[in-house]
Amino acid sequence: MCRQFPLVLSGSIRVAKVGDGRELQLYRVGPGESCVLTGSCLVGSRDYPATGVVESDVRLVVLPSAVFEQLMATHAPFRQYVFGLFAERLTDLMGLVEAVAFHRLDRRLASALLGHGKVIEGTHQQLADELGSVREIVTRVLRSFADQGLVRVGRGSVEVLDASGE
Amino acid sequence: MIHTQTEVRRLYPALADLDDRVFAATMAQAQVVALPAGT
Repeated sequence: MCRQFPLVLSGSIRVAKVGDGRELQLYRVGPGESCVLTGSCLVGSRDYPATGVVESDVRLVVLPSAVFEQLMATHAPFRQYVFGLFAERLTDLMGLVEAVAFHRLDRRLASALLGHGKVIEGTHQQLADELGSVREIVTRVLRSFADQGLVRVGRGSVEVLDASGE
Repeated sequence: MIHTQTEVRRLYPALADLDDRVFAATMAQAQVVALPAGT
């Protein structure tokens, strides 16, 4: 459970999610910044859901949770700072989720297309179902492939133009 | 601690305009922590 809110004065902390022996970097916290997950834990009284590793020697000021709560309740600029932090990190994390999800689907979709011959008959929804994804994302990845000249997307079909992807 | 308070005010504008008395009271409850790389 988080009991303090950090204000980093110098150095850098890398915040990551660790699981199944893999690590996904979420963000870094440097001077003038703070850890949004810590803020979230303090606001929601939750356990910290990630791991923080000090990358370079860090000096920080930590505010006890009672002080954090008091500032949130009484000092609008601080409240705006914390909510701004939430908004900024949420945007970053959405980008990360998108990258992770799309990169994986990228490869899976390419592999699925190459396994079906030169012309693949089927809707984007069928491809999405095959890949355990959703139609909108498959359409977006196919559009990206088409923009790169790798495939031609038609109604109900996808033609592979460049199987080597070069 | 004076130097630290100056750093906090410089790096965190959201706290910079706290009334001096409130800022001092806030900082009096805060702790300065040093963490070496790798921890």
